[in-house]
Amino acid sequence: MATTSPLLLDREFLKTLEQVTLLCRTNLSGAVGPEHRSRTRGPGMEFADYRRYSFGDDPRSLDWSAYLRLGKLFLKIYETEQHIPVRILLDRSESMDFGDEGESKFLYAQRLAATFAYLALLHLDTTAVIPFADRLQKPLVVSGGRERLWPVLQFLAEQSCGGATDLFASVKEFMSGFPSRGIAILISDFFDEQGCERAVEMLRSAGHDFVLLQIHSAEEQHPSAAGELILEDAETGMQRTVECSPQSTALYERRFQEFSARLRRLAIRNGGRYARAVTNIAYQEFVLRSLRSGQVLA
Amino acid sequence: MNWLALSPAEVALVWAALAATALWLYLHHRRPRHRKVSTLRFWASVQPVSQPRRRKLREPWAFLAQILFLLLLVLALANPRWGPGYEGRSVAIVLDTSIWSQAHPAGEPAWIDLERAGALRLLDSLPGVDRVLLLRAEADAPPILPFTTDRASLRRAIQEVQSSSVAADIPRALEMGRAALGGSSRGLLVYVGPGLVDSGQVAGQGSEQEPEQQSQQARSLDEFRAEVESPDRSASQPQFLMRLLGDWASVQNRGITRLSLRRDAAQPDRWRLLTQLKNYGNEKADVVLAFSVNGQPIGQRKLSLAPKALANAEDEFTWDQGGTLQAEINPPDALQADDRAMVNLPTFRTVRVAVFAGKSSPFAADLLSVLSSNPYVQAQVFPAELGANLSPDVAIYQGSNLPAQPEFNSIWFLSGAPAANSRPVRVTGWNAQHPVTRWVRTHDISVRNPAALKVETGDAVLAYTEGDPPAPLILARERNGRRILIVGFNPHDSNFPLESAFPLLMAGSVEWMTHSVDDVADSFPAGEIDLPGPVTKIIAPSGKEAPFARKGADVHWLALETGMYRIVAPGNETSIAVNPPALPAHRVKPTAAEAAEIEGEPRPPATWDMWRWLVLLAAVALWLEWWLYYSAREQQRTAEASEAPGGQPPAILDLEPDEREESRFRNPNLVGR
Repeated sequence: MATTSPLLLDREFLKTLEQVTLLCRTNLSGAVGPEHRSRTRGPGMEFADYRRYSFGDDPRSLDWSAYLRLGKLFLKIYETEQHIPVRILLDRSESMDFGDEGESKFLYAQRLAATFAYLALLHLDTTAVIPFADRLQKPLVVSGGRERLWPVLQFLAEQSCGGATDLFASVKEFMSGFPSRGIAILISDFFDEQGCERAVEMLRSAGHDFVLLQIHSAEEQHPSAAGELILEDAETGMQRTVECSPQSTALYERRFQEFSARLRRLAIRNGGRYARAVTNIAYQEFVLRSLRSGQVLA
Repeated sequence: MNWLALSPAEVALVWAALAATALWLYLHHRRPRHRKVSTLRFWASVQPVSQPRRRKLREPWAFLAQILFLLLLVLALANPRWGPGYEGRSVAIVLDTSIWSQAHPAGEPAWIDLERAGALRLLDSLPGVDRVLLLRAEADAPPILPFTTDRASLRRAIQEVQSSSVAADIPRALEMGRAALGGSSRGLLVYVGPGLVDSGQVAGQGSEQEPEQQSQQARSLDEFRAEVESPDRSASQPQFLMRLLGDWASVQNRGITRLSLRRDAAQPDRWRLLTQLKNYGNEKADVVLAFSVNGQPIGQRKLSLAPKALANAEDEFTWDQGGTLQAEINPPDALQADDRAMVNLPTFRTVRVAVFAGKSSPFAADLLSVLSSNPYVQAQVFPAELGANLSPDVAIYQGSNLPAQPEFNSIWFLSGAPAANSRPVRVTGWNAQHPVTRWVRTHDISVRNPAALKVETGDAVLAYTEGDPPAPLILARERNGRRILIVGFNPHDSNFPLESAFPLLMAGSVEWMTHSVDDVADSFPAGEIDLPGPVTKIIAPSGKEAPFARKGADVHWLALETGMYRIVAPGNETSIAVNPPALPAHRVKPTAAEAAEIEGEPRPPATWDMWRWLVLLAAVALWLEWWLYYSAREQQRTAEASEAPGGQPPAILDLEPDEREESRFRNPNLVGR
């Protein structure tokens, strides 16, 4: 794995990100602050809805204009802006060291991790970048605004690929290290021999608002090789001799689609969100279009 | 066009080899490539290649088309003909490109041009199927062109043929041509040239003069003609024709046939020059013979040459340096190649002989008187202690101890211990084979107190005294490139200085040690030359390297040019002069049979070259092979695609129907909600 440049994001893109917010779908309790949008109703600046007044409500939130028009008491509800911890779990296993024409999956994942970290810092949230493979690596926890992005970029640049993937062990370790609920963004190719169901269920049971971000290359989706090949698994070292014919390639592609679909279903079933990124698509485009339309970002 | 004419067996062999190669290529599978992937989980359902598959032809029809293409191609190369078999005649044309072909009589074309035109006319009169061999009339010359039916090559070879400076050996060339035609049922042997044979007078009906004395060459030619033209000749004898060119009667030519030098015995820089000239014409000729050395004229003389006569001219001149002596006769005549000749003039060098002895010793006096009589030697007496400071060509010592490694070529006079009542001992034998004692024959020499010489390995005993066995008296020895003569007596204790053998012995010794004197200088006639070796390279006057053959240590080569040849040997380079030889000057008169036209050949049956059609069919077969190969591959791909699970592009099964529809237009970066 080649070391990446600390400058993972370009300035124009960072400027664009100032218009973007990381969405949180779950009602998470956190320190109230002015920046972050959540579905929690409470004191805030952003009007969200009306509801009928009931005893015990704060009379300061009554809409007197509505009372004058309708003769009924309505309470104005605002969206509470809270400090929600954003945890970015970055897969650095050996299988991430593949990609298309110089843009490896890991580099792509690093860029996305940097993007999410910047978004969190932009809204004064605390963010943690947690690399993992078969177990959790030493994380980086930063807060305090956009000026703190540089340590994140440096930290990401120091990371390299190695080891096999063990999602369950890594998530389990994450749970013990980060007990408070927050947004958990899991960036990985999810090529775990043990499967990722238990890990996702554990995230759900802990009450995290999680996002599964699957990254793969175009070659992994549509292998272009032909003829007889001795394939070696980058993580396990196992070998298999196969004949790459149109027939076998079609079978491969079908298996890959099934895997992605299963992962998506798993995320949705457990109340999380899912996104799939192909490394031959520019990460800026993926962030600004795909993640926005998928309500990961707003 | 002349293709490789292959026999049926060769066709089968070549085709089998090519077909085997094609089969191997069809069966060949590339070794599986090694590739690292991020995961094997999606390949798990793909059937692994667990065993090497049995090799089988996947495109058998394409392979058959391929080997058909190869067969047709090989057959086309074999150049088969459609029609009854017909073998053309074998024709050997002996083209006389010897020195006489350089003749250019006034008002006539050069003879070489006449020969070219005659050979081309002859070639045009031959059917296209006849195989033609082009030979030169010079002895040992390689063929101009081997047997071929390619008329363009033959015409080109005839037009490009050049004259040599060698005398012709017509009988030998004709024998060579007849041997080349030996295997042919119908052969034709044609001589094209001036028809001049060696000196001596040609006997028999074919000569223009009456026989008096017949040369070997003329005899051989007559025998050859008798064999070929006898009425009861066998069918294997070729038809022999002669096409004589040029008007011999009008040719007036004078030439130098020999040029040699001999050094004066008393005056080393004085040379006697012998020039031999010949008038080949029918008229008396007055010529001027001029000499020059290195381009500097040294004299000339007028000579009157009788018709058909040889003349010798002897001259003397003084020249103390080396160089090239050239003789030239004027005015120019029909053949200018033999109007000049040259010879290499050897360099003269005085040999320095140092006699290490006391100036008043009788030994030194005896030696100096002998050595000073030799004009090639400069002798001086030096005290023995000066030996380390001098570097003479030859050193002479008396009574000293013989060193194991002498510094110079040297002569050592050793003697035994003097005895009061010693009696003279007679010298009874001389080694006549050795260059030192080659001229010494006397038996009247007796010596006193001879030294007991020990003969070592490699020594040559040059003289021995009476006794049983005879005792060695003079030894010749070679050590580390130095030559030593060991004389086992004091000349003063013998009657040797009074004999004529003494100066001969000393002169022979100096010459053996230094090789300083070349008495004669001669030149070689163009043609076959043998030289003592070793030789690494021979460079002709034109600058081209001349090919040569080794005969043991000696070399043999054919000098086709005249002038100075450079002989490069390991460590040194010498030059030799090659001059025109004495020319054959007797014109053969062809018989009626030899002057006749070419015997008629039965009209060859009409045949049809098949190679064009075979090449066309091969092209069709090649196209068919490609078409079959790619169509078979395409069918295979289609079959594999249709056998793929589902048979359709993979669908995203977990999507709802409306989502599936939508997914076709969606960005590949799917986002779930």
